[in-house]
Amino acid sequence: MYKGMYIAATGAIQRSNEMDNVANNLANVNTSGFKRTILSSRFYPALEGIQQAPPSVYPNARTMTSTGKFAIDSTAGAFQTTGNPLDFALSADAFFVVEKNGQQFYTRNGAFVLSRDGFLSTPDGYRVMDRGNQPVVIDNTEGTLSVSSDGNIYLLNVQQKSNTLIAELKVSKLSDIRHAGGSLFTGTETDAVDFEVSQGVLERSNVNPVNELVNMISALRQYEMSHKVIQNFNDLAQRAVTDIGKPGA
Amino acid sequence: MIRSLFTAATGMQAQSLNVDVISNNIANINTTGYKKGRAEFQDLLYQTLRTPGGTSSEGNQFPVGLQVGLGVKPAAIVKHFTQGDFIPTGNSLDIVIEGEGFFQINRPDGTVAYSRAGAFKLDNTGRIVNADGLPLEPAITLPSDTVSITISQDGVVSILQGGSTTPTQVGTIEISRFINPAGLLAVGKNLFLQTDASGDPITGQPGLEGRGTLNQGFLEHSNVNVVEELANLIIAQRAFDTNSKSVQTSDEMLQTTIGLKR
Repeated sequence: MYKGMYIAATGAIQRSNEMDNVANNLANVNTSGFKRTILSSRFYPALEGIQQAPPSVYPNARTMTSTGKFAIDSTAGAFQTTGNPLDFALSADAFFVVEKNGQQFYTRNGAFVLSRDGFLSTPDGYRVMDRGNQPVVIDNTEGTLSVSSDGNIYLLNVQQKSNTLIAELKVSKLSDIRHAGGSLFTGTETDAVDFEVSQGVLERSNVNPVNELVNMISALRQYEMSHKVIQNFNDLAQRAVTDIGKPGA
Repeated sequence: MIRSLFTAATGMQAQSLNVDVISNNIANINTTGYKKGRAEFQDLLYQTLRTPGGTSSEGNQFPVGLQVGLGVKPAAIVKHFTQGDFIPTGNSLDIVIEGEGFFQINRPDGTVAYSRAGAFKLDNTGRIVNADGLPLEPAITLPSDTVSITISQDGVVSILQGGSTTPTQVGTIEISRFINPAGLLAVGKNLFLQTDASGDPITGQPGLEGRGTLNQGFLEHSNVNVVEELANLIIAQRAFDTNSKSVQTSDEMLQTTIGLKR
């Protein structure tokens, strides 16, 4: 009975998923290196494989809506100068490689710290890797840290007029990107060729609140529309029961 | 949709923490030796609704997955140990460390705390103490007939006694540096304590092993930058606002659904 009611319900469920997505993007509007996710819907016949129900069999059509596109928008966020020597930012599409307990992840949140043993790591203790897939160790007793745009870390000693190369940051491009939480991503790694590392700079989140608020309003209103449809079917059912079905009418 | 309510709540909590950190920075804008803090955030867990590469019916593969994030979490509040402005005071017991390092302060319980605030005084026994009366470690005591004090860049304290024309050395101010100063524990009153994360102090004479040098007659102001803090405050407030919109919208959606059943 009333197939349309179920079809409208799929619409409402989908809008609610969209709202979840918008809420997560907005919650991370101030998270360094965050990449917003995009969720859009598509129509599909309930029976996969049937591309389109012929118009003549309209009563059997069950076109519902479901998730169409899910993607991670990897465009760069705004860059903020912090002046902290351990803050790094990367040009678009490249990722720092970090590792903990043998598990490798990728991140664009370059707010790193030095551990007590001198490992360059994230606040969660993931160690930043160099081009030889070894953790970057920095001993800054004999100078100050400086990083060139190609990701080489130098120790600059003004008194001895020396500039020693101590590590080369590993930077990779990613395909099949997935969020892993904690500012980390997983994916298939390829070598990055054109990239630029900036020291003392942090990449802000690439969430644009205007976009998200528009998406939020659109999700809300479409959600309400789906509900109107459900309500109309409900009214129909009510009429059928109370008016048409009235005994002795 | 209940998901989005909680997601937005994590966002509001995070931004409220951010405002706390910024307020503390602004409150300490005029505190000698204060180092600004910054709240770092990370995205929270992801709920995978559909795995990429999974098979739909008819043998088709989903080319992309479907992950819904569950909000944001504070990762750390990192102290920035960049140098603050040096203000000349002319006071012979105002000392700054130019470069890395901390003064060692002896706490009443015998532990050593670390501080960048170099506004030292003398107590009634002639010891060099900080504003709270805690002595330097190792303690340096000046004789009662001290006329003038000179502190060299490498920490040697020499004095001129009344009636004498040759300076006398009374001790050396030792300072400590840490491989990871951001790992120090702030305990208030301009003091920091050593932790597991900071590593062991590398203590000794100023100017050696990466330690900075001392300069007499200056004070190090806080390294808080008003413009930066106010910009961050605006961003935090707006981020809080937009997250509250998520809560409102989720609430409206719930209300619509509840309204279905009359």
